[in-house]
Amino acid sequence: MLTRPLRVTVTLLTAALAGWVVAAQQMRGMDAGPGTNLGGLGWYLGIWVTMTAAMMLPSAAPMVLTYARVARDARTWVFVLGYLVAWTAFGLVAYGLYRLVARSSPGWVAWNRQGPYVAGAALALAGLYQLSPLKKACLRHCRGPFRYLVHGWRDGRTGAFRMGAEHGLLCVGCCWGLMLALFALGVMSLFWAAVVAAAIFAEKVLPRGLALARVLAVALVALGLLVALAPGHIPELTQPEPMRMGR
Amino acid sequence: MSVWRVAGSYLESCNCEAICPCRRIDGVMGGRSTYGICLGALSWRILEGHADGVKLDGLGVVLASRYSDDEEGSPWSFVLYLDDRADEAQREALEAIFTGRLAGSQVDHFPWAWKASHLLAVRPAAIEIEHVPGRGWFRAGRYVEVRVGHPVGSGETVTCVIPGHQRTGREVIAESLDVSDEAFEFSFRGNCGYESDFDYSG
Repeated sequence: MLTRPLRVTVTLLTAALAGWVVAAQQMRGMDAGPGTNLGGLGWYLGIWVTMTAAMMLPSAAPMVLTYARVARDARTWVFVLGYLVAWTAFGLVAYGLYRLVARSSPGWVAWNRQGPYVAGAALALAGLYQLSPLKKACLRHCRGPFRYLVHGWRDGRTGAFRMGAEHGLLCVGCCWGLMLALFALGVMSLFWAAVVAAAIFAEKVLPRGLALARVLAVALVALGLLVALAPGHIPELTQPEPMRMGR
Repeated sequence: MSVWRVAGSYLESCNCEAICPCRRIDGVMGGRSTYGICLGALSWRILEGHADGVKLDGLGVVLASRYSDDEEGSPWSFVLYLDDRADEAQREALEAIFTGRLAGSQVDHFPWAWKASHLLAVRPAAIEIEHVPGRGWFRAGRYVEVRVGHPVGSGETVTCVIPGHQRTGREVIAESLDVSDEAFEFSFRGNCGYESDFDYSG
């Protein structure tokens, strides 16, 4: 029989892998580059939850694992549920913003007009956020699970959910910039999703993650400049059709 | 590798008559507390300790408690006193370990962790612990003071669940046991006590 920590790790990684497989199937042919159409709310929610599970579960594993291993009264799956709910809320906010922009359908965001500048600015913003004190505080939280578990402990099932959701919010605080970068590069692109997930994993889990966050800041700003000035030179960047956004 | 570990010396005293009925004597379980209601104070001096990289060496923990054998499940009410020299990270770790919130071997040793219990307060306090064999004493600020008078010279093996029945220890007579806090106010002379060592990890 597997021990509990091992079982938790295997389950999380299997769920993430399944998420990647499903996302790869669902998103085939969906990538339209920056400002990709997000489709109807139902479909979007399904793919968003799948994608965030795929992208985030491996880097959330140390926190979940510490919770399962260290807390006597651990309700691991309730904790994970709370975590995913926080990310789903973020996804809904992003969808709402997208719809707002899409509805007004401003001509100037078209790729053949100001689109590259908008995408480039979003990437640069994501880069600058990497250097903010808030990002640093959230990243420290994510990198120190034990401290959060003894400091932020709440009892019972509702406590587990709240702790998971709170951790999720702090994780959103840590990663919204990188997620914004993903929206700017093409949210339905498996390639960019994998790049962003790898970046998140590296800064959260690997040694020297805090320093890496600053390296990523430079990379994002550079990528932003490239997208704004020479978008055709980025091999994996799908060039949107003019006026695609907003249908 | 363990996430956390605390090991050191242990001393407690309660209002029961020696040898305390909560001990095992030559492996035989005792019974009801002498007066039906158990009022006591426990102390741990951590000689070696860590929790996820936070060092806990040299810190002390004291706990004042009350339970009644006549209450259903005899739930424990307790106040935890944590060494005021501990920084925030150390205090958090100690609280999580000594309340039993962290998983680990201590849960099998702490009745307040495996039974229903009420944590009345966690207080930082100036903790002084001198676990001198047969003459030990400890103090938690103005709240708790325990002084051992002398060991009980019985030829039997006496063990206690809190350090663990697998560990050797010794029954003592407490010269004094004084607790004065919002929740508890008691004072006893010549009642039971127990000295041993402990090693908990998780």
